[in-house]
Amino acid sequence: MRYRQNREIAWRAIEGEAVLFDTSRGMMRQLNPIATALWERLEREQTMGELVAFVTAAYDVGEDRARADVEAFLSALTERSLVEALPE
Amino acid sequence: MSSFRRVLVSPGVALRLVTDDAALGAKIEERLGAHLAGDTPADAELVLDASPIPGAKWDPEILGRLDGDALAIEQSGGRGAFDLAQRHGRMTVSTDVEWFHLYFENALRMILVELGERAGMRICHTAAIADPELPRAWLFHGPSGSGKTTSTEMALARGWRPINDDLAFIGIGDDDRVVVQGCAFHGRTRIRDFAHGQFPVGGLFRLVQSDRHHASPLPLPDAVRELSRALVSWRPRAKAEQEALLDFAGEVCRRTPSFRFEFRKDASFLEAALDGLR
Repeated sequence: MRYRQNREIAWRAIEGEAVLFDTSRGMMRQLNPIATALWERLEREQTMGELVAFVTAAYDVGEDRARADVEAFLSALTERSLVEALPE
Repeated sequence: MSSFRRVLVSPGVALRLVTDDAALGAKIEERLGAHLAGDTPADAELVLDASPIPGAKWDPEILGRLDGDALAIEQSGGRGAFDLAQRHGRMTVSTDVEWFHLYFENALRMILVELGERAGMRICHTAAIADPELPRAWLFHGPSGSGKTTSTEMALARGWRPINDDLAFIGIGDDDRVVVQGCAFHGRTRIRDFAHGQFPVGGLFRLVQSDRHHASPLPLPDAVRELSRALVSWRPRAKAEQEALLDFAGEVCRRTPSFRFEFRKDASFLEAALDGLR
């Protein structure tokens, strides 16, 4: 599976935190700095493995912890239709 | 036939309202009189006709469409068009529908919001209150029920001047400061003596009702999120427009301190709010 931002989401990163506006639902969201870094990477399609590798390299955490965090991030954002999951 | 001709001044426009219908003119005077002038030069015009519209019924929604400069007004009891580039339009208001004047007001709101935006001012769901001694204003925003009307009435009781209790235009002034200007529409207060003109903004307060007074600074991303929520629109926004709105909120919040303001309903609220700035 590959992942990317829902192209309909308006967003801006402000002091390292993304403020997202879902134009179809009229909902505002805000991401913490690590989630914002992942969100920014999702401007281009990413695999789970690529995101996990980014987190382990950028935040000095083990792969198991990084994978759990990335899974939680993707689960939350795909559930809210902020991120799209695309078949390989 | 006597003609009603009055000018409504709003950010980016001095709009002449014209109708030959005496009842409609009287209703406009009653509803918007404090914001109307007779001798101000106008740079835009809206001509109003009054007549029954077959099938018209009460519909509280603001219904319209914007296609480039062409604003189509498509309410059940009020229809017409306004050209934002030519700054001229015409609409028919059905006078056989209860609350018919609200159709006109909805249409007027669309026109003023769009012309204000083209002048760099955006409409904000906020109470705005002017300092009685300084040319400075404070904004108290939050969703319906958060306390905008209450804060306005308490400020009035303390001798401050309300700019608006529900809606105001905000923008960046010539001196790079954030400014606020009231609009012709207001919320639930019965106040009619709103302060006119532009005021520099001293601070933004996101209202949260509580059992205490407490103002805490909002980090910039939180301030932008909260202000963006308050920047209302009568129409859906495309992604690029919404991102421009986020940029606008960022520009405002970088220039003005923002606070999360827990407040209880008593007369000391204003001092507590301003303590947040000290």
